[in-house]
Amino acid sequence: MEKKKTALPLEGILIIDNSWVIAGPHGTRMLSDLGATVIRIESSKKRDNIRFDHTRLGVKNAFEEGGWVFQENNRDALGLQLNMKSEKGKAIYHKLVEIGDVVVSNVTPKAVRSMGIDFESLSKINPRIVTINASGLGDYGCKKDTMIFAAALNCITGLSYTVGYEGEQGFGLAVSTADNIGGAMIAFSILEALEARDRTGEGQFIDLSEAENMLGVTGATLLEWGYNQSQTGPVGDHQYYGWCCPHNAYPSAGPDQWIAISCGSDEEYRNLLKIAAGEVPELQEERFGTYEGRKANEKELDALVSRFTAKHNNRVLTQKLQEAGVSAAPVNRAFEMLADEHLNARGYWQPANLPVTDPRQPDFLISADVPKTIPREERHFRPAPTLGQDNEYILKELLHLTDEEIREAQEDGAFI
Amino acid sequence: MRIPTSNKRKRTGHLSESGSRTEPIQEVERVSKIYEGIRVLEISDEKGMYCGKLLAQAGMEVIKIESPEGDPMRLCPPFAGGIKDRERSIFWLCNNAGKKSVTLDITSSEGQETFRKLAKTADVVLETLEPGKMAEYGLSYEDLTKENAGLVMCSITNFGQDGPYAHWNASSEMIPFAIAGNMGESGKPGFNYEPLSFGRNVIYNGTCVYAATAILAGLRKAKLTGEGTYIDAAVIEACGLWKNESTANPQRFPYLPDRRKAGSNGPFPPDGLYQCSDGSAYVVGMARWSDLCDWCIEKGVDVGEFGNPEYRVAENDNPHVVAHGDEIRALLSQVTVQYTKKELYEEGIRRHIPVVPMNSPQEVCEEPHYQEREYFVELEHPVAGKAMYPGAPAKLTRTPMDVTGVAPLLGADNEAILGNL
Repeated sequence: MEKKKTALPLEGILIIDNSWVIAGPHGTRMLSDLGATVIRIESSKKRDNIRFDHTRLGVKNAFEEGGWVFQENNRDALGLQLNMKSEKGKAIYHKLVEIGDVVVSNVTPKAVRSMGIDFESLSKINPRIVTINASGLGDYGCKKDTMIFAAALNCITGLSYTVGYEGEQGFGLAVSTADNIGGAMIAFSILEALEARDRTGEGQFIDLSEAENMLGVTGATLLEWGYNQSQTGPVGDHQYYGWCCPHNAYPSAGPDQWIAISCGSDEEYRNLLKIAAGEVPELQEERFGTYEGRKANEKELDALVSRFTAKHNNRVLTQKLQEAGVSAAPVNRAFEMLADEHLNARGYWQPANLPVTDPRQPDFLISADVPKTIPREERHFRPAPTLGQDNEYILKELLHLTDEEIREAQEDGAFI
Repeated sequence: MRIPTSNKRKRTGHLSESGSRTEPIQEVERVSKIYEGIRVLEISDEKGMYCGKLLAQAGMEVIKIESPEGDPMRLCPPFAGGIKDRERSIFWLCNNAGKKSVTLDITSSEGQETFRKLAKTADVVLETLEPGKMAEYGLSYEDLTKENAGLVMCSITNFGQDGPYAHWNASSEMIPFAIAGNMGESGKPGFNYEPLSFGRNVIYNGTCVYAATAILAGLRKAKLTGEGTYIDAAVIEACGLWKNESTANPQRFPYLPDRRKAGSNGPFPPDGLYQCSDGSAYVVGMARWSDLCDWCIEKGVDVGEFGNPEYRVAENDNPHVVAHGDEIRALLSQVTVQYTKKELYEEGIRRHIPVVPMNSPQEVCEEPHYQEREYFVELEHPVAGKAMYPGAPAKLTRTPMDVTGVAPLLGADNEAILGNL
């Protein structure tokens, strides 16, 4: 494969990626954006089941090509189809470990050992290897065998407890936040371990509990318990930490259309009045003049703001409010993000360069590197690999196997 | 300002292959020295605090630059002990643990000159001001790298340094989140319920993990090449990535997505949140109806036709299960109410079915699993007092990261740091 990246910090680092679904691939995607080569290992017996999603319904090669989430997180990865259960397959894996730098997985602690990718085993082959397993709750502890995925992770960490409507039980959000932030932490801790290796010459095992990573993100809620033995359930879209009021999603013209508005100071509220007070004079009442007054009457204030916003198109109103100095944004559906002028101007959306197999989706877009460290024009993403797409390159160019050795491994069932 | 327990802790080896815990193998420093000597200057509001905290946990010296009156978020309620005080804001204490504090008026030319001198001694500058502000102060990446070529500078802003919204008003993390298309897919279905956002700085703190990763990469590049790095971390772009395969997927268009299908229920039935006798629990039920069906039968629930083989095919979007999602969920809920959420959790582990309790912060803090893993660490702050703090987000078994101390008193390090310039 042609090298496309220059002068990136992880140039020359080889990542052996046994992970799947979102968290692991999201982490290795970041490392790939930073210059690392990522080899994604799958077999026909253990394919990443997120290859298929509803973006490709009705597409003939949907599973082969992979849906949007698979493309997002596996673009630029090399695909190795390898059956690690066969003797020869395992031997090839060990050869990869010899030349590799990092082994990534996101399975239960038990599965790490049954797959033979635990640090004890692999460090005998290469003492400089860094291994990481991002399991739900970590490698030891009484609940280590808990199987967990994103929405469930939000529940067990107390995040969902705080997200919902005021006066109701919290239930969390549908988005895969915890898995994605877990992925970012995979990348962070690998970089740390590589730095340690530069200094000590030794690899190590990183025990990443996706739950503990999220506990760090939501830390203040837990420290509230730590200091005051108090906890607060959902407050809807009102702000909990800070002084923004009003702070909510308000209905706008059209079915199920909304606008997010936040006033972080009295000045910002006065800016809102410039636009809204003509239509809803009650907003000028003295009690709304200070943060304390607005907060004490937040529900009434919300009703008044809603009365104003309900008549307006959310995009036109956003523009008007922004020009007047008010924080406002249309509440987009996910697909509306694709056409967003700001993200497009910044080069956030890049073509996935998939073979056009679905005429309904001529412009399949995926996200660029986040955060941005080099000009995005320099990015040219290769689509996520089909199963075994890069077997030949990896076996011959990286591992220098002879045709004879490859044939023997084939007969042993190493590439099924 | 110290860690009251010994600053060494016994770390246990990870599990041996047989699955039993090995004896403690070594005593190691709580915080590794791999980033010792790396200096970070942080000019940051709530957007970047957690980024600085992560760097401190990795062993770097993180100096928070505050205005002489102190960071306004120091007065963010609630307060430790309920007493309003700039050293007692729990939000602030949590996200600034392990840092130092220097006061400096960055808007004055004198302050800018001091910052320039400090930046010569630094490896990383982390800032969250409005795009263009640092340049206005003569402290842009171009300015600072003239005298410190290998500097890593990271700007965390709502919309990034350029683009049509770069100078938009966004007094809250909800604003970029709304545009990123996450909020519009979240909340209860129906036009009467407003779309939901995360609160409590989750969006900013999540973005910080991405920014911190890029900073570590920048430090690596500086070490290898001597070159600096500028990082443009836009909150809208980081939270824009938080999408899953079915419910919040922009590319699902032109197949119209279901409006906020997942709120309390996952993408594929019988995935979802279920009531127990004492609260609720999340059952990751997609593709697992067959096992759950057996569980229903064992608990005396009449599953009727839903026990037939076509319903038991283990596929995420088994059309039979999807078509009867509500009925199947109703059957399963007859099982879950027979258990407390803790019992259901343990029974799920036994049956290899992912079921987890909906925990409150209290339940998280009291969970024995985290105690066994020594996740929470007791720290004593000179004003706010002692409490159990959240610990390191990842366990590096040989070079651990950890909380290195409490949040600094305002200007605590002025003399030590500015005196040496």
